[in-house]
Amino acid sequence: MEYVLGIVALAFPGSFALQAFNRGPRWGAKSKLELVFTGLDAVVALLAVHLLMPWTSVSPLLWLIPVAVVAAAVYGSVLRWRQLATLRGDKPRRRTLVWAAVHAAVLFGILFVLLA
Amino acid sequence: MKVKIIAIIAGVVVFALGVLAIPRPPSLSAETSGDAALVAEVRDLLAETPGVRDHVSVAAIDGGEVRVAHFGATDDTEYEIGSVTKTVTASLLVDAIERGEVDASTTLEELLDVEGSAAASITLEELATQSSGLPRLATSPGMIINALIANYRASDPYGSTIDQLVDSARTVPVGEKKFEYSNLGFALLGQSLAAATDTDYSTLAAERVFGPLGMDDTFAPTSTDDLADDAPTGYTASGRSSDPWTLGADAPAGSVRSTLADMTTYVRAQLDETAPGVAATEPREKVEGAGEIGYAWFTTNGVTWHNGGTGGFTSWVGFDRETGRGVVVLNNSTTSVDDVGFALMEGN
Repeated sequence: MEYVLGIVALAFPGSFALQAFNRGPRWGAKSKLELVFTGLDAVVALLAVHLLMPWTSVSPLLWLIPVAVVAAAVYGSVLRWRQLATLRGDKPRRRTLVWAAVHAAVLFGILFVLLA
Repeated sequence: MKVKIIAIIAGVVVFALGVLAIPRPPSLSAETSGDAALVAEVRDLLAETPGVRDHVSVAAIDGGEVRVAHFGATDDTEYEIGSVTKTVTASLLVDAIERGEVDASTTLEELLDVEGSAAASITLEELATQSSGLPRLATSPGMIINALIANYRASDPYGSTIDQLVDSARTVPVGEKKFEYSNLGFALLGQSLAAATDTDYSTLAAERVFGPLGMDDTFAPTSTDDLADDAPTGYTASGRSSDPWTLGADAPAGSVRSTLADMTTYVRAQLDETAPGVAATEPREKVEGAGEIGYAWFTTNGVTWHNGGTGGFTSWVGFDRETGRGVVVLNNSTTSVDDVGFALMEGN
């Protein structure tokens, strides 16, 4: 369990940071919407790790590592914000919005399971 | 430049929020009371099993002498005792046999609507000795999903009605008649006894075990409606507050709430053989790797014991009539207290 949560704690914030700082076509964010959802994924992942990690067998100080990655990603996101289009230009607008709605529903579902 | 300053501020604010939210799992309460030597001994023993701790209450019985140790609790602090409840259900079986209401060989189909199913011919004794062939839990895709969600929500994964429980018994696969620890089996045993005596499990336990022993602060809830508004809750392995477990129709397998004072009374009554249905403690069958089992009670190297665990509590009770020693350990987190219980039994 600790290892799975450790991977979650690094993968989602890491992905957020990669999208925020990388300007390449493969890894960098291609739109504001994409960056926002990657950020939300990272926040929900951090919440899950906070609630489920057995913090008596894992040092609570390790919590600060993914937090620092998310903080750095937020810094990078603010810097990039103006350079990004709201939505991707290479995908149909309607399909993008439908996927965004599905993505949001999944995140709300996870939040409901964890917090309700 | 302005954007960079805003970016730095945003990053610092997020990091500061993260620092404020740094996990702070509960640790063993520094507020202690009781016998100073026992407090020190228990503290050392608890330290050997790392994990979330908060309130712990321990009683060490030596003949007529009882020493207690509390961490953040008192004699009257309420704990979920989890599967130690099964020993109460076992006492009810022996008591019902002594009253002539059932026999050890009474089958499930004689008491519950399971006629024609694989579980129909299971006897009450097989249920009580964990050798009915029933699995640990009734599993269906819905129940597995429910259990997974409950795990992530730190909520009670049980809560079926008696009809749903009986329906599970009708459809569950029954395996070989050998030892297999079964919560489903004990839930059915308790509900069978309630049916045989035309009452409900909670009332039966109160009238035939808790009442006669004067265990006034002990009860078997079946829903959260049975709990006080300020009923204590425990902590999960991550230090998260857990919902109370009341188990619904599965209550006979683990819903009882009690206090150190009452559980000490219970173990002393097992020790001096004045407890209702005390014959439940007699070893009846061998259990590979764990000694022997009576009705619910295990006997290992002379110690008769049972442990318990819910989503937020663990417990251990045990005794040895030869040495006159008995131990009760109650804990409001899911970190095991088994080693503490066994170590204290060896203490003398």
